[in-house]
Amino acid sequence: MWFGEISLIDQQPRSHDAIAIQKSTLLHLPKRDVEEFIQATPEFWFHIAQLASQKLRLAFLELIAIQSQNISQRLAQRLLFILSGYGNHLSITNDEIHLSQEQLAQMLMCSRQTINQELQNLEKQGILAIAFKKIKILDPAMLHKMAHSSE
Amino acid sequence: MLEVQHQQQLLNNNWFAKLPQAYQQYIVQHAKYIEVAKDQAVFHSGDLFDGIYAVLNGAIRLGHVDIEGKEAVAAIAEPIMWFGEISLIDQQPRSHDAIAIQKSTLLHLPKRDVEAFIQATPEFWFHIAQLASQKLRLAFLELIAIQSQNISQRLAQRLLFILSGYGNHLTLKVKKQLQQSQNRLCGLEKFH
Repeated sequence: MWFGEISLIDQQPRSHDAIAIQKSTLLHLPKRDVEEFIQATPEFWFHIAQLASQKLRLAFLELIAIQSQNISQRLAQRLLFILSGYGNHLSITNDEIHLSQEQLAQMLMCSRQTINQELQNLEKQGILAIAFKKIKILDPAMLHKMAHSSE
Repeated sequence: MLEVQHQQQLLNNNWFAKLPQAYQQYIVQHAKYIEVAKDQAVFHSGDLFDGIYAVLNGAIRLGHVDIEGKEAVAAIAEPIMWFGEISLIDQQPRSHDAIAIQKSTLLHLPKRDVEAFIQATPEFWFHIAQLASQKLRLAFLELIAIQSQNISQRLAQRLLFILSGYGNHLTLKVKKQLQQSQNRLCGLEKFH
């Protein structure tokens, strides 16, 4: 997943922190290079716009979900977002999510106990398997159905 | 062709004011007026892209209403805020509903015109990207606030966003009264 394009577009300081939650390897396209390329190739703005609009679509969905969906639906939706690299993977190839229950609870704005209970429900239904700081998704189709059910 | 008073109004919009003059001219010449009644949809989630819009008068709710009629709001577009650019950028159907909260007057730059302009002027993508990034910055702030702030702080932040037109007004004009019902604010701030 690419990030950092907001400040490229609006030339304002960073809107949020970006902190590694585990040892990570990143690609960095430095300011000078990206600006030079855009200068020569203004069409590149279309692709930069895509990075922002992809995140905006998901942020709007999340803001809507917070108000209208229950925690089971939101957890299912969030697990799918993570599996699909927030819309960045061409297909879902990885079935493991490396997040602690604390981190999931924080993302979904609920208690760790609630997340634990929800994950255990999903495990009982054979939709996923819980390991230490790791969740293995066994049935993404079922997860998708849960995220989009009306109740 | 837009009326002079609306051209003046547009120039007080942060995004529009920074457009090169030729771009401003194109919008002024090609945008059409649209009147929507209270509760009328500008578009629905799942609709195909038909252009971008700006609110001249009134207020448009960007959100979703579920089968049981429960309303969720991602943002409220008030004068002058542009919306509808997501589907222009990613060529996917609309991600949310856009429904008039009250009788509203909109500008509509139709799909054909905006696409023809972009074809001839790829630099316009920079300005389209700005519309998306402006909303993204605020959506991130809101999502972060939900996790870390109490309801008083969030209400204060949301009221300021609305007053500043979600970053669209060149100057912050204090309105006597926000055109939001208390219920709707409550919906925006419900989760805590």
